Amino acid sequence: MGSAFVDLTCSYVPVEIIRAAGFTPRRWLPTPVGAGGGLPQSLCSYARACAAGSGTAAVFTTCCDGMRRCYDLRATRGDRVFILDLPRTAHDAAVTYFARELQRLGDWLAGLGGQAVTPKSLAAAVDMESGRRQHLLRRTTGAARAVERYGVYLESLATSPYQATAYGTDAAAPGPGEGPPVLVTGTCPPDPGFVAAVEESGLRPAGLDFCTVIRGFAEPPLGEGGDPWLALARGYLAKPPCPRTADRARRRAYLEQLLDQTGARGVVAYGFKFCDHTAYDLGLWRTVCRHRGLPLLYLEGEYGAHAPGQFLTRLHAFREALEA
Amino acid sequence: MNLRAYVSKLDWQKHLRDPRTYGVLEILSYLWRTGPLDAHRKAAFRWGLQLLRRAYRRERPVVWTNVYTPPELIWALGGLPFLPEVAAAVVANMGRAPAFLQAAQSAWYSTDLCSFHRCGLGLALADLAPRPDLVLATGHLCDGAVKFLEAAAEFYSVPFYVLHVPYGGGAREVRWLADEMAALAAELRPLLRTDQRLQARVARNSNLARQYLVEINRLRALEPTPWSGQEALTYVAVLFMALGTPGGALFYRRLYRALLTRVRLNRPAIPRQRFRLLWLHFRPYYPGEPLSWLERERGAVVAFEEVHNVTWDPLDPHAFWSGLAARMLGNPLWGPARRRAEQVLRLVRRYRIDGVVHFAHWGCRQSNGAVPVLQSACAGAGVPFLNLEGDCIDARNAGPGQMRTRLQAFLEVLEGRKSGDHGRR
Repeated sequence: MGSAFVDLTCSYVPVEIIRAAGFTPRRWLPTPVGAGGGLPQSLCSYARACAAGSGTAAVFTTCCDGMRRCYDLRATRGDRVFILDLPRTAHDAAVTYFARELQRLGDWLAGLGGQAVTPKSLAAAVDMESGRRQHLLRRTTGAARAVERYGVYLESLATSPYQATAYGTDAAAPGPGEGPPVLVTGTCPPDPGFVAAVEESGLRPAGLDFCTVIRGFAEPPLGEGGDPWLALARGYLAKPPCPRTADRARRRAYLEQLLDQTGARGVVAYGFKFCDHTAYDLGLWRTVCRHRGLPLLYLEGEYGAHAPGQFLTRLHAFREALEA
Repeated sequence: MNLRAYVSKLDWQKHLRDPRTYGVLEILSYLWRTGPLDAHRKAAFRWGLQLLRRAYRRERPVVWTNVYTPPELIWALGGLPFLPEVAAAVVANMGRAPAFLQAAQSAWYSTDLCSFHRCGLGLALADLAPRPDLVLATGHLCDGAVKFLEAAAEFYSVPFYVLHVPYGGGAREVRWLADEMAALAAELRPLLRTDQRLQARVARNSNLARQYLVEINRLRALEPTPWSGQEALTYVAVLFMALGTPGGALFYRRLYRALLTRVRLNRPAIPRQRFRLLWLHFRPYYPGEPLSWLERERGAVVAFEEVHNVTWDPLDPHAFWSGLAARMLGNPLWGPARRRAEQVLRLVRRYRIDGVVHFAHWGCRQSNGAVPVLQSACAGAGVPFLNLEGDCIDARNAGPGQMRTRLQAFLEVLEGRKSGDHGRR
């Protein structure tokens, strides 16, 4: 029972609750389904892949129309699925609302055969997850190449940072680029081949801003004492904002901070076709980059698809522009 | 200079932004002689002109919002609602959408995004729409609307608010949302002022319109149905903007009388009605769209469309925010898709529907994503279902010819069922 997985499709699902209920949280990175999965092709390829189902219980959020419909489809099929309503802002009323949603998630997990989530078990899970994040940070800090770091993140999502082996396994690959540092950003989890392509083009990914990397493993500021549900709700809503959030000023401040921290000389944005959040977030990126005089390259792909040759051509051209 | 040359030299954009244009058109509308069958059109037209005149003149703060936000919310706050999605439909109807879509595309908005939103952004970029004083999005129905309105607020440098509409629909959620609206009203006080008298007035107008709408829907269940789907899907604009105003109540009263007259005289808007369809989502709004062909030439009348279904209770002026909250949460298009599917099956029974058409508007993830659930519900109930791919605003995304071919094939299925004695539900 303790090893039973519960799949997650969004980094705003507090893994601590799943852990406290006695399950193992796992970010779901399903096999791409192409045109299959049951959802129309005008939805993003990640949502379509998630709709195919895995037989494992899954927690969705109302993070996007695609995921809501994915939940609908799987609920209709009788899968064990839950949808967590996710506010777009982090004001007090939103925190209170989200805390209630988290309790509902705890009840659902208990109904699924898990343990009742108590303040004590939640506190233990919070400590455990914090330890896991710190371990992951140590693991990835030593990785020379971004694709290795990304590999560790992906493995940690699927299993555990303690078991991740990706770091250092690709000794035959070329070393880290000495080229200009860039921030690689996007909404959805890209294929590792995409990160590899960025490096292969001679660019140096100084930061990977995806929900499967920085935003997914950021330590939510939980605070001390008080209602643990409220603390979790506040902590998760206060974590680095994703493009879906509706607090433009906060998101912009986060992007500016990322650029300051990484010293990026350019931004490579990556999104899946039909991802509305990415499409609108690009507007904000353009504003930020224009303001800072940074070039921006946008590449659009499909979930699970390797970086096509065209990406390399465009990445090379981008590097040349940066070095000119 | 002849008239054609004179008109071609006019700076249309300047005139469209000028409130006097709408004032003149309002005066001219007095010359429009209407009978009992079309007085509602004049009411809607004049109401629209009045709104635009007041919005361009900035009589009151202009609030941009999205469809399915109850307009009563804005009216009760003392603002003027402006829905760029509705404006996009009007522009498409005039055959002018491509220019604004192009403007949005030039500003790097992806062509994969909903064309209602792209066209709305194009109107903003062209500085043609009334400038907002604030932008208010409601988080139900679709993500695109929230992000598009957020982008518009940034473009105009005005405050942006988003009301989170809970996914569940219980009493607790209603209370929470009502509190959020009350808090929003308090926060907006420096710009917009509400009071109980204004709320009571808005509630009264809204309830009156609702009462007529319920009666209209009852008439539409008759065979032959008195109204056409094409017109009904045009006047959703009134539903989205005018509820809560005297003009909205007047429109529905006149429409009710028009339909009652049609029923009494046995003069339905579509004379030959071979099939009754239920239409899901909106229709294409550009010239040459296939709905008039479907209804008038093929005799397949859209007996009802889900958007006009009255799913809310009358507003209680003493619990105004709770009433609006319950209405938003009770919208079958929000929440799990099975709610929408259940409504579809209820409407199929009530309106004795032969087939269901879902208009799969390009870029609409929330509606298109629900198609598998809707399709499966209809299949389970033995109701023919067509997912008609197209675009409500951008004619370039789906040719009318292709749509006609698919509709024709669907009608053949319906014909086969009729002749095969499958009968009607």
